[in-house]
Amino acid sequence: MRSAIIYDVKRSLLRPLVLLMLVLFAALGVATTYYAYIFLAGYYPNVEGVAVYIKTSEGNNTRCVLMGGIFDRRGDPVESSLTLITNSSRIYSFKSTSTFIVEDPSICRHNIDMIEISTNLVKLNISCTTISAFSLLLIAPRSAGIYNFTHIASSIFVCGKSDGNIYIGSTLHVFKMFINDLKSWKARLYTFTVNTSSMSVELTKPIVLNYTFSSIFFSSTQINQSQGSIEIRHPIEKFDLSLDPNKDAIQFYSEVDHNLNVAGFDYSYKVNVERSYIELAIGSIGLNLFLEFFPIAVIYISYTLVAKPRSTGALEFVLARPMTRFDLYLSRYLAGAIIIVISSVILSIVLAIFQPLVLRIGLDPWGYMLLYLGILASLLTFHTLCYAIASTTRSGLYLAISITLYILFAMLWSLATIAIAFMLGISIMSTSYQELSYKLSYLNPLQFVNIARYYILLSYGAVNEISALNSVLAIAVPLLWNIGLFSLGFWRFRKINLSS
Amino acid sequence: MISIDKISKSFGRFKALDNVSFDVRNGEVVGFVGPNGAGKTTTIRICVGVLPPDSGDVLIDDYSVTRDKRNASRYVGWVPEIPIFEPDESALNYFVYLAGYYGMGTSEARSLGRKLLEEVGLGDSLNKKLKNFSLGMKKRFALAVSMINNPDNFIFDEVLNGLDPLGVAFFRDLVKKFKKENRAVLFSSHILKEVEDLADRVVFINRGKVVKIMTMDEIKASAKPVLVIKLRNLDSRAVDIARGYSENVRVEKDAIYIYNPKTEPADIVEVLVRSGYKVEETKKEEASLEEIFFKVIGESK
Repeated sequence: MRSAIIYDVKRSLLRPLVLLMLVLFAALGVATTYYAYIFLAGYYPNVEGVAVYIKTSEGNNTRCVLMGGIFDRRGDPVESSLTLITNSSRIYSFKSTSTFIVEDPSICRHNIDMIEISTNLVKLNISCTTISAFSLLLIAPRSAGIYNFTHIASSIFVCGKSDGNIYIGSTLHVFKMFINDLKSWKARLYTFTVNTSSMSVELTKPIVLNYTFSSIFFSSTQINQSQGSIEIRHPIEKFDLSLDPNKDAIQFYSEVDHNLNVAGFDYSYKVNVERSYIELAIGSIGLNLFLEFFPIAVIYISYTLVAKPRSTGALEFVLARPMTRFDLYLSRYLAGAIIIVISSVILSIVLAIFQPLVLRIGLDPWGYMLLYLGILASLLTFHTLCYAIASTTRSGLYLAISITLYILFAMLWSLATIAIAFMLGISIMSTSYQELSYKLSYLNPLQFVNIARYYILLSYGAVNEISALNSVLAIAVPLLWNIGLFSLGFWRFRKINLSS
Repeated sequence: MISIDKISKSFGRFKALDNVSFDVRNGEVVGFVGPNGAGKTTTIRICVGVLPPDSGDVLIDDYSVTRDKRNASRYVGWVPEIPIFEPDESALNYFVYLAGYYGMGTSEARSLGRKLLEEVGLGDSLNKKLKNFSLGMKKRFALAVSMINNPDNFIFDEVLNGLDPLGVAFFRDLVKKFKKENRAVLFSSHILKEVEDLADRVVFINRGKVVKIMTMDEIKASAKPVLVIKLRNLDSRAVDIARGYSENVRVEKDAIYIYNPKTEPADIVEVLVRSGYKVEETKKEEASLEEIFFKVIGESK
């Protein structure tokens, strides 16, 4: 029977409509996810560069150092080519595989306006500005005259978007932080340190910075208890921090000579950006298109596997082979199910490869597995539903019923949810509406994927827990749908007259 | 051997079969006859396991089609009256697909498919789509499929219907060959002449009930021949002489019809000639299966 099932799979999978839909949605999935990424990356870049540029002039002797790094969204260094641009002229180029420190007098002839960064993924420009008076004012020491404010400001440039800086004694520390893993609230912090007295990147002694988390940004009154510390020994340092999910900001501070220096920044913004990327990964337009339109192929698969041959009477001749009705029912069901498993695997693999490799966005393996299971649960249950109808009705009636259900489940479900919410007096802007949507997902096979999406978002802390959903129900409901529909379909099929 | 044991089947309120029982033994060809709607095809569909009976069972070589269909179906081949296949498949591919249910691998099935399709005369249509097959080709294809497992039992449902003379001859020869090979063959047909020529026994069915089962010898024995004697000078005395040899004598035009005569025709003719009658023509008409059929069916009404 195995070879017969394989044959059924082959001849159903190789139908032009099914192949077209697979290729179309794989291509559309890639294309639309890419465009969604471009849109998102326009607001929240996926690759960021930050550099600190020191220029010291003492008579005719000019000394300059450029240090920095090009990172992906997770804070991992990205291989890139950098070109320094002044007045639209390229004055210096180099390649970087990790963070970099470049010391070369030729880059000091002019002030750098911007750095052009080219990675495998993107090209971007980061502009360079002197550390502004505003920045210095924030960290200005209480006793004036220790630093030559104007001199320093004109000599140190920061290129790209840093997350702030702090002066500790004679050192300037520029921060750049990335959310490394939203699930575990891990962050990666880079510090770029300049010795402002020597205007070099040489540190005379380690610098210890304490940090604390707060809900209210920059409230020095909150700095009463250190929640951790970092020790800076090198001009470029990388630290892995655990953020507090219940707070919004991190503040670094150091008390030197009774002077409290504080610098901090709000990381909730970065968390939201990361959530946007995760939502892009699990709800890409390509995936939504697949889930919206592949059910048409599912309807067609049941039509070709069972509805049409049952209507014409062709199943009867097949049933005369050494098999029971259950074998026939099961083998054709499995053929359809295998096609859906293969199609979902193809889609998931396309997403899982394309998103992290090309777009540098994506989920962890468990997230992709959960997403795959959600897609599979949705399509498989819809297949079981269609198959049960196809096995017990004539082809014309089958198409009418299945298309109606498809329109309801795939197209009108949002309207139906709104109508039910309206009847229950629930505002569509409220969290109750969100809860209602998730609860109603149990009634719609094509919405099962949303339950998987919810659990992915929940695991990333990107959504609040909904009490109505629990993992037991999330597994049991699709299983019950499938077992129930399969059994019901066979209960009818076993007695049905298969002649035309 | 095919043993049909008290099978009944209703479609809604209509009782299509009522306690149908008979056997088809190995090396035996059983003709299955009855008027349209009598239950022949329903019986056959139950026999091959594509229709579940309401009660009763069919044993194919001792395997029950209701309880052990996987085995039962291995030992019976079926050619339906109008075979219906999935039309977009090519003959060889569909053969390979169906052979898969016999546990046959693709390459083995392809090779067997080529051989059997060649044997049934479809060697040049291996890659032709089934939707382009004529009825005769479809029946030949169904036959090839039914021979996948080389079963000992065959069931042909109106297999000669719609066939050209070549097709009829092909199936007629095939049945004779199967009989020689000691296989059991049940075949229904409206062409009673063919049944008469091929069958060892005939099962008569009407209104869902088996009304009679007769061997061909019994049919021949029960057939009452009619002796028709045409006389130039037919009169009442000649009729009286004829009545001496049969209780059932009829006169039509210038001929005497003597039903089931007690003696040989030559003896009756001799007496008439000696009595001064000029016998112009004599013929003995045997009762055909058709007459038996109408008689049996008529009696069952």
